[in-house]
Amino acid sequence: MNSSSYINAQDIHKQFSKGSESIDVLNDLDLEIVSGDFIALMGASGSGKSTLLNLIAGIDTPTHGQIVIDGIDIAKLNDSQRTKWRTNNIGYVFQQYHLISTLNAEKNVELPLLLHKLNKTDRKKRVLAALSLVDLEDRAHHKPSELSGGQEQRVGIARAIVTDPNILLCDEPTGNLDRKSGDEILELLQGLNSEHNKTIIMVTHDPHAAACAKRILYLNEGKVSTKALQ
Amino acid sequence: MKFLPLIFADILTKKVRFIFILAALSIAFFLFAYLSAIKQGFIGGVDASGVDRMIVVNKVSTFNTMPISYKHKILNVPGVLRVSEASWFGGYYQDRKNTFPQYAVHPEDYLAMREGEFEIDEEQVQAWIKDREGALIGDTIAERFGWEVGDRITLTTTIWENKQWNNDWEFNICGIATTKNKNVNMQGMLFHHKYFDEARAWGNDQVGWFTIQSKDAKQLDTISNRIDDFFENSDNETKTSPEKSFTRGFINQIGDIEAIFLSILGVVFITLLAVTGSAMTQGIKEHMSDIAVMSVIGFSPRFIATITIIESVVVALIGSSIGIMLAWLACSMFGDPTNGLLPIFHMPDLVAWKGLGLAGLFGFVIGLIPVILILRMDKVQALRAIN
Ligand SMILES: Nc1ncnc2c1ncn2[C@@H]1O[C@H](COP(=O)(O)OP(=O)(O)OP(=O)(O)O)[C@@H](O)[C@H]1O
Ligand SMILES: [Mg+2]
Repeated sequence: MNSSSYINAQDIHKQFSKGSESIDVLNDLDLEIVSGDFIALMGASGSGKSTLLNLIAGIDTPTHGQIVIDGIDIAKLNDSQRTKWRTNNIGYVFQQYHLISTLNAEKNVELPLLLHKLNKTDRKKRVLAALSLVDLEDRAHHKPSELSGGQEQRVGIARAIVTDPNILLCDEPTGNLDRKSGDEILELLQGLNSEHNKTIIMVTHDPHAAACAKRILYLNEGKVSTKALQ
Repeated sequence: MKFLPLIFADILTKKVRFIFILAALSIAFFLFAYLSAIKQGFIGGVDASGVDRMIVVNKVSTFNTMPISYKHKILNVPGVLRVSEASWFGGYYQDRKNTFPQYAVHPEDYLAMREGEFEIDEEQVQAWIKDREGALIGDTIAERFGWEVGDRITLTTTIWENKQWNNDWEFNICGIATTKNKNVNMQGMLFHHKYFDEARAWGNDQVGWFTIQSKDAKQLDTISNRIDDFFENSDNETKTSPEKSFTRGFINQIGDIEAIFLSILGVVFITLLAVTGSAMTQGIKEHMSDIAVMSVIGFSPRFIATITIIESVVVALIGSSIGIMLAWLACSMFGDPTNGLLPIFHMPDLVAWKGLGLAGLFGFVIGLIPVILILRMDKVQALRAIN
């Protein structure tokens, strides 16, 4: 084990069972990521990319194996401890943005802060900072339906970073966007990585997007490798 | 309450559905409150009946009479404090539509046993007692016909002829009573049984019923048995019952009001609630993807469930409040919808509280359906479903 690594997953095994059938999605997977890294995770559809992201986010737990993040073995935490840990350490960006349609941009970004002990002014300050980071201060009062896809995804990113987590997990963040808006998102992620030192794991099918990362990892046959399957 | 926007943003965004749900809920609870008021109009008399009073009627039927000589015999029964003879006059003022209750009673005895139920000027009482043709009326009826103390009025009865074989009887208004008890009928008129008996062409020395005040409200059964036993095997056997059950029995002659009330209400209410219930459930179900996102962000299922329930209860309370308020307005502005059949008509406060309680319960139950889904939700599956 490399002690300098920030995220360290070892012997990860993830099995899903459907009735009597069971499939091994991740198989003795090892993964080491240093703080401040920007990883693009690629692989065929169904190779287990989202599954791995969910394990790192602590949304799901491995069948066995350990995932140590910043010194904490999150597989050993109980459900509510893991949830609490996630709110402090992980920002999650969805392919389909998944903003709450009834809330405006500002309220959407504020949502994760409601779980923290902050007063109204502090929350407001943080929300505006996050919105200005994604360059959307002027859209604070717009509903998701009044925003473009790229803008929605930027609100999604603002929501992911408003609690100032160290890790940003993005599951195909540009998958629903045209090239131009996609590039803006990638630029934004690069900035968050280089200027704000966020450790980013981004799942993508798009080699162009993957090229923006510092490293590209490929997932196949349940394992991570640095080489694409030819 | 930093979570308030989470609740209300949703309610206010789906405006059309929200308005539809509110409308349906208000209609349901309007009917609930309004019909409750009508029911209260029918059975309110039961509440107003004296706990220490009894009614003696002819055992054959309430329409058969008894000799007035029974009065002194009843007074001698142990436990009886006061007795007043009473007869039904069955009159109307000028037009048959203007029917209202008039009772021929014994002034002093009758007033004594209803002490505290209504207020009346002592001078007016004395004037009434002295005036053989005097009448005492409730303020509601005084207002309805514009009668004042000192007026001489003519009532026509469908039952009784006077000695001139005429159905028109004259009375002097001697006093107008008021009350603070909403269940007391203030549409009535009291007058001297003695005048009634002496002036009528037939049926003399007979009374419709006796109202009795007992010395002990706990002994009504014993006392009524004594009375009925005393008159057993006489020409006119009696049937004595507490005033409350007598009133209830009388009302039930119209039909089992409560059963009618419950069945009308049941049908309307259940239909409307089913409609709103499904609209509300659907609204919450459309949120399941939001809920999955919120749970990824870190909100616990229990927290989301609580918000969902609160939302559902709040909507139900808003809708029902509107309905109950409208019913209250309708009751106080338009009054008795039957035009005189319900002398006592008002919406009791209890109805409002019951309605709100019912609405809260309804909101809670409706909220429970999605909450079960939320609590059973598998975060990973939910996330897969939305991603
Ligand atoms: N909760 C689950 N229950 C059962 N099977 C699952 C579950 N989650 C994932 N799988 C299976 O695991 C495999 C990997 O799924 P995953 O979503 O991680 O793939 P992916 O690499 O993200 O694919 P895509 O590129 O299409 O998003 C798939 O075969 C999927 O059917
Ligand atoms: Mg995926």
